[in-house]
Amino acid sequence: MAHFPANWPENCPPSDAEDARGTVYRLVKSDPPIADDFRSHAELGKMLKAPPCLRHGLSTFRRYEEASHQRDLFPALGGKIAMAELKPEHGKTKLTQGKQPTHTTWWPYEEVQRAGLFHCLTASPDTQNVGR
Amino acid sequence: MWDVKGTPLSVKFENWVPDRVLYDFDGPRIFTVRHELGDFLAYACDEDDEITRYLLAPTSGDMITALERGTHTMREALDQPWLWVMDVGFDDVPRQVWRSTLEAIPETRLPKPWAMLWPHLEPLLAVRMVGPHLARGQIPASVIKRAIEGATYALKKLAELMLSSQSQQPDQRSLTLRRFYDLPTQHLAFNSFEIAFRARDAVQLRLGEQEGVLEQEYDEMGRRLAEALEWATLLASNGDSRPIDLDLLDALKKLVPPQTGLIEQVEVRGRLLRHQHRHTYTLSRDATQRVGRARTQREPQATPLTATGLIEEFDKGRLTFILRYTDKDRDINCAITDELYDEVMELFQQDEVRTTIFGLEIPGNRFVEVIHIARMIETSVDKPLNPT
Repeated sequence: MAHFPANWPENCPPSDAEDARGTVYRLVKSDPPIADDFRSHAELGKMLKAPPCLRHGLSTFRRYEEASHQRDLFPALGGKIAMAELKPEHGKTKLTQGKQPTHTTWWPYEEVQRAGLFHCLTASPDTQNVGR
Repeated sequence: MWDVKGTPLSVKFENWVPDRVLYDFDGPRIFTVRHELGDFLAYACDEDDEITRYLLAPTSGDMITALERGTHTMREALDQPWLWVMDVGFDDVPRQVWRSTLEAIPETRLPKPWAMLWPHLEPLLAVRMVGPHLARGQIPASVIKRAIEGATYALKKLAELMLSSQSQQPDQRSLTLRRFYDLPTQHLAFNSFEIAFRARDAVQLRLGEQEGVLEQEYDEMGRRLAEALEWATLLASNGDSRPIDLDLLDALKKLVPPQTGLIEQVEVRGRLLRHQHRHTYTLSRDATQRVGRARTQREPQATPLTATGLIEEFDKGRLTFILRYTDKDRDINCAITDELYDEVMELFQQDEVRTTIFGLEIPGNRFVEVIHIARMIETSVDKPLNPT
C-alpha cells in the first residue's frame, strides 16, 4: 500500500489535503524531466525555517498560464513547463494559494516516480500541441 | 553558480527578514525588506545546493504599488541606480554582498523585460516596435502613433469579427465594440518602444458580472489574432498558400511594420494569446510584404465616391451614419474612423447643413469608408435670391 516517508512530520500531509487528482504544471530544467526537477525543499536541505510539512511538498500550478508567467518571471527556475495528470495513487494535494490563484502543494507517496508522471509541453495544452 | 560582476561589500546585512512577501513559490521569492540600511525589494534570481542568490534594489511604497497594479514590470522595479547581489545560506544568514548593476546580471537570471509581478497583471495585448535606432529619447511620434493604431485597429477588427459571430442585438454591439479596442493603457516602455493595454473589466463592458463570459470573448479574439499572426509569420519559402480570412488580413494591415522607416519588426504578445500555440509573435517586413501581396490579390477593388447630402442617424458607438437627400438620389451608409468623429458630430448637430463625403465603395461592404468629410460650400448659385 502506498505511504508517505516515515521521517515526515506528524500530520503531514495535513488532514484537509485531498487525494491527488487532475492536471498540474511545474517548471523543470530537463526535457524529459528528471528526478532532480522534483526534489522537495526538505530533500534539498533548503528553507530550514519554513513550515516543516510544506518543505516536504512540491509546488505546482493548476493552470498553464501561471506556470508560463513564472517561467518569464524566474528564468532560473527552468525554461520548460511540464504537465502531469495526477491520480489518487500519486499522493495528496492541497490548494495553497497566495498571490498565485492555483498554487497547489503536492505530497507524493514514497513509491511514486515523480519525473515519470510528467512530460514537457511545447505550447499551451489548449492548442492540443503537446510534445513528449 | 555564476561569478558576480561587482564590488564585494563588507556590509553584513544581519537581521534581515522579509517584510511583505509579494511572490511565494517554495518560499518567498519576491519580497520587501525593511532594514536600518533602507527599504529594499528582494528578488531570488538563482540558487544552488548551498545558497540562494538575491538581487536587492532600493525601493519605495510608490514602486511597490506600481508593481502591484501592473504599471511597472518586475525588471523596471529592479532597474534602480544601484543594486546589491546577496548570497544567503539555507540558514538565512547572508554570506556575501556585492554592489553591482542590473546590466552586470546575466540575462538568464533576470525576469523577462515584460514580466509583471502576478499573472493577472499581464497586459491583454502589448505591441513592441523594434528597430536599431529606437531608443529612449529618440522615439519619433510617428512610431508611437503606429504602435497605437496598429494595436487598436487590429483589436477593433477582431472585436467586430467576434461580436458578429454572436447573437447580440445591434444596439448591444454598438455599446460594446469600442470598449473592446479603445482599451486603457497599462504600460509604456522604451525597449525599443512598447505599449501595453489592459482589459476593461466585465462591468465596464456591460457583459454582466460573470468573469467567464468576458474571458470567452477575449479568448475568441485571441484565437483569431493567433490565426492571423500564424499566417503572417509563415516562412515565404515553405510554399504555404493557405488563404486567410479577409477580415483577419485587414486586422494585420496596420500591425505589420512599415516597409521603410525606423520600425523593422513588431512584436505582439499578451494574455489575448494565452491559450494559443505561441505567446509572442514577431512580425518582420517579410510579413508586411505577405500582407501587402494578399491584399492586392484578394481585397475587392474599391471605387472612389464623392457625394453630398445630410448626415442622419449617426451611431456614435459603431461610428456610422446615413447620408440622406444626396445628389446621388440614394441614401448612402457611411463608416468613419475615430479621427473623423468630431467633424461628423459637429455637422450632425447642425440642421440642414449639407455635407460632402469623400470615400471608398468596396464590393460586399454595405458601408462606404469615408476618408474625408467637409461642409458643402454654398456658392452664389445655391443661395436663395435675396427678396427685395
